[in-house]
Amino acid sequence: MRPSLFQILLSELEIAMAVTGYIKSLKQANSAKIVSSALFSELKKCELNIFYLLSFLYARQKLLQAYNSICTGKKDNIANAIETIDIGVSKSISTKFIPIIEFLHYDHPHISDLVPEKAYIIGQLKDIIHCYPAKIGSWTTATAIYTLHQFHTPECSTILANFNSNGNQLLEETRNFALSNQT
Amino acid sequence: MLLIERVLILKSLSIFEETPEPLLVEVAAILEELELESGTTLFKKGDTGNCLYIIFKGQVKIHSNEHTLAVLTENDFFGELSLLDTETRSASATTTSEAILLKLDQEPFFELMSDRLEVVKGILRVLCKRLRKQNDLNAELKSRLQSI
Repeated sequence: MRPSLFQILLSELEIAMAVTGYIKSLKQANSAKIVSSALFSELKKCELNIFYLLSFLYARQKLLQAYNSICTGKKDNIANAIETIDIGVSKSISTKFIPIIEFLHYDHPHISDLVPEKAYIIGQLKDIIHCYPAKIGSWTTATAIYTLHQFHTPECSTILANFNSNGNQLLEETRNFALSNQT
Repeated sequence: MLLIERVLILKSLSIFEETPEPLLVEVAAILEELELESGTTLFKKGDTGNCLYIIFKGQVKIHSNEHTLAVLTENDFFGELSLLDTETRSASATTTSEAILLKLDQEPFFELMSDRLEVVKGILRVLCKRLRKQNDLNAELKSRLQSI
């Protein structure tokens, strides 16, 4: 049976929340800067997908207008867009989606300044790599694999050796490079 | 040089700042890697420009005859606009050390753009941004002139 639009929307929200979590956990890790940046792009893509899905379920014009307002980057416009979602969308969605929009477009004073430990970073990168291809795209996955090349642990070797690139040239090349740096 | 490293370099160029990385992977794939000796002339003043160069390693001197206008080093780039329109070069470029350059030719880039509208959109966004900035600057200069 095909999933309903609402189910697709919920799973897109789940992905967005997971990506937000990864960004928060890696934000202070200088060694994983390119991964954070790729995750931000990934989250922006999720935001657009969610707006599209919402526009099929709720007031189409208002929601697309809200997305365009967000794209202006102006705080007032973003606040208005958030209000549109708050009023016009089911609470079960808006309570999950609004924090994602705020995270994407406002500053993040609440993110810890603590630099994560190497083992923790590797764990997060492993999770990101495992999300490919269902939840995370090839570019973000490639940045996570590339970042692993600077760590030399048996765990990194295992992650890289077990990774299936599905014939993607970017991933295959990056994985081979990272793996060759492990020995 | 890895594909991922090429993409990261491309992303640092202002002309590609609005292009999503997954699309830059395709742009990176058509970059030509050039290994050059010191003293190699890349182009001369007055030549027709139709490509963008990015310096991966080494140095390149931009000059008009004997007069040096700039010395470019790693991650610098030149000929950005020549990628989009074919104009004559306003200065010459010569390597001043052994260098590795990445070259992006107009023709394969245009072919890629004809298939990938997102690449065109990314570039248009950058050009619009620049135009707006320029318009704001012009307006500011006009109002200053009027107040004098």
